[in-house]
Order: sequence, then C-alpha cells, then structure tokens
Amino acid sequence: MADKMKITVQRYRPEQDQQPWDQSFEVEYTRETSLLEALNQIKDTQEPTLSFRWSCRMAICGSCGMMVNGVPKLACKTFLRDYAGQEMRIEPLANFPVERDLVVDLSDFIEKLERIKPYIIPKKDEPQPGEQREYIQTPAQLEKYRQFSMCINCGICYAACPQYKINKEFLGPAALTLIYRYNEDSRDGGKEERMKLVNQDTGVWSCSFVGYCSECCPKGVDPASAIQLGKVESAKDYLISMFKKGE
Amino acid sequence: MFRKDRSDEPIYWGLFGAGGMVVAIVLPAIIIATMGLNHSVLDTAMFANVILSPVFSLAFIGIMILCTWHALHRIYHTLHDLTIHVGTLHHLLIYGLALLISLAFIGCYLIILFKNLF
Repeated sequence: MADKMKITVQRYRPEQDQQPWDQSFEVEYTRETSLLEALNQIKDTQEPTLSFRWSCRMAICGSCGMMVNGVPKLACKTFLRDYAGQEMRIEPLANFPVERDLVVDLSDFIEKLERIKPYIIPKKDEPQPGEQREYIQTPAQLEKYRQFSMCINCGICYAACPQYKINKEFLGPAALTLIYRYNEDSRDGGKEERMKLVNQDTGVWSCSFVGYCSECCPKGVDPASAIQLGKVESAKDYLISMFKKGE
Repeated sequence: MFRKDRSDEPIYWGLFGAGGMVVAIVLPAIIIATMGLNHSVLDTAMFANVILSPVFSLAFIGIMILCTWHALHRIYHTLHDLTIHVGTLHHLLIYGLALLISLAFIGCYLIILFKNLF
C-alpha cells in the first residue's frame, strides 16, 4: 500500500523569479522510496522544470546534497518512510549560493579542494609518477587515514558548519579532513606544503568544534575529529617553528 | 592574529587544553581528596599549613591560572554564538584579562612565599 507525503520544495528560477518561493507536491511512496526517487517522480509526472543534481543514486557521487527539514542530507540516502506522519521541506544546500531550485554553486568548495592538493605527492625516495614500482603500505599505516578517505565531496559538512556560514574564507570540514587524510598517508610527502594552509587562522583554527559536520556526514567520516587531530599537528608545527631560524 | 601566514591560536588552544584537563580531572580530584580528609588526623590549621606551603601553593596557582585561560578562551569563542564577531579588540581585552588574572595569581604566590620565608 502506498502512503502519501506532502513535499514542499523551495523553487528559484533566476530568469523568472525575483526571490525563492515554495511549491508543494503530493507523492505516493513505499517503504523503499528515497527522496531522490520522489523528486524524480515529481519531475516526471508533475513539474518538469524542477531542477536538482543527482547521478549515482547510491551515496557515492555526492551530487544530491540538500536541506531536508533544515538538516543537510543526501537525497538518495533519505527515505520518505522516516518522515511518515510529517511533511518534508526541501531547500538547496545551505551556505552556498543558489543557482536554480535545488542546484547550488559549489565553486568555492571546489576551489578549496584544489588548493589543498588532495592527491599523493610522492616523497623524494619513493616511486615517482610513471615509475613502475610498488608503493608499500602496511594495514596499520592504512588504518591511520582510511576513515577520512571515505569523503565523497558532497559539501554537506559545509552546509552544517556554523563557522563556514559566517566566514567563507574558512577552509572548511571536508578540505581540512582531506588534508589530514593525505598528510597521514605513509606514501605522501606533501605535508609541509599543506601545513601552511592548516596553520592559518582560516585553517584548523577557525573551527570551534561544534561537531555538527560529523553528525551530518552521510559517509561517517567524522571531519570534526580530523580537524582536532589537525589542531594537534598544527600546534606541534607551531612549537617547532619557534626554534627554527627564518620563520 | 598578528601574523598572516600562521595563526597564534596554538598558544591559546594549548592553554585552553591544559586548563580543560585541570578542570575535568585535577580539580574534582582535589575536591574529593579534601572531602575525604580525616579531620581528627589533619585539622583545619594543619591543612592550611600544607596548602600554603611553597610547593602546594605553586601547584595551586598553576591550576588556577590554567582554569582562567580555559574559561576566558571559551568565552572568547562563545562570543560568536552570541552574534558578537570577535576582532583584535576582543582578543586583546579577553586574553589581556587572562594575563592580568594570571599575574595577580603569581603575585599572591610571591606573597605566600615571602610570608613563609620570613
């Protein structure tokens, strides 16, 4: 038996609308219906102009982040059954400029991702790119960063972060988590470069450990803990720099 | 905050962290230990003598200073939640106050020390 759910979506069409407005839909759902499926159902049968991003439907691509009753979530990982007896209000991901309907402009986040160099920078004595040699890594070395490598760059932690909300210069949860992830990788030699970003006021030190990023992360990455660990690294780096000449 | 390339926050965060340990572990331990004192063995006057001895009072002053930095650092970062956006003025006022209180504690310690010596 299909139940019915009232879904209110915040609409904004820049070529027509002066400001965002609400549009409500009724959708039928079963136990398996995800919010993403419900939105596609709306787009297919009720409102073909509704815009939202999606791709994989399985919490891997990180495209369908949106606010569900004020909480940032992946639409594909949110099920209507969990809202039975309530209504759902869908808004674009908070803390990002809205482009259209549920589509936000993530360029600030993407620029930060590029800035932190989220890839392995080989150490001098390790195999360089193109060299046909193996990287050796033990399970224990893998465990140091494995959890933080689960990030899918969906931007949900940025929508959750009260510090990013007031200061867009803040590198933010995902970028700082990925810095930690690569710095702790035994194959990586780029820590010194990345610590320059971590050590700034806009690096780890803008975080006041609210922890809502970790609560909202759909992949269980725990960015708040990565940032706290980053603070320890940055504090060590600070002490070392006091005894170094020319810094 | 006075340097662009590197935050000075590690200093305050370090004191905040040390203060947090003191508030969470050392202070309750002292309170419980004091409550468990056997008053027939150690009366109030003797207790005061122990507390006011140079070693104990130094530890005590250290504890109080760390608590001060912990509390004021927390207030500094809570200001943002109260919609006050912190700038250099807030920084100087709050950490200046922490420094003043710390100096006052050190002053108290020196007085105790001199009283003990002479």
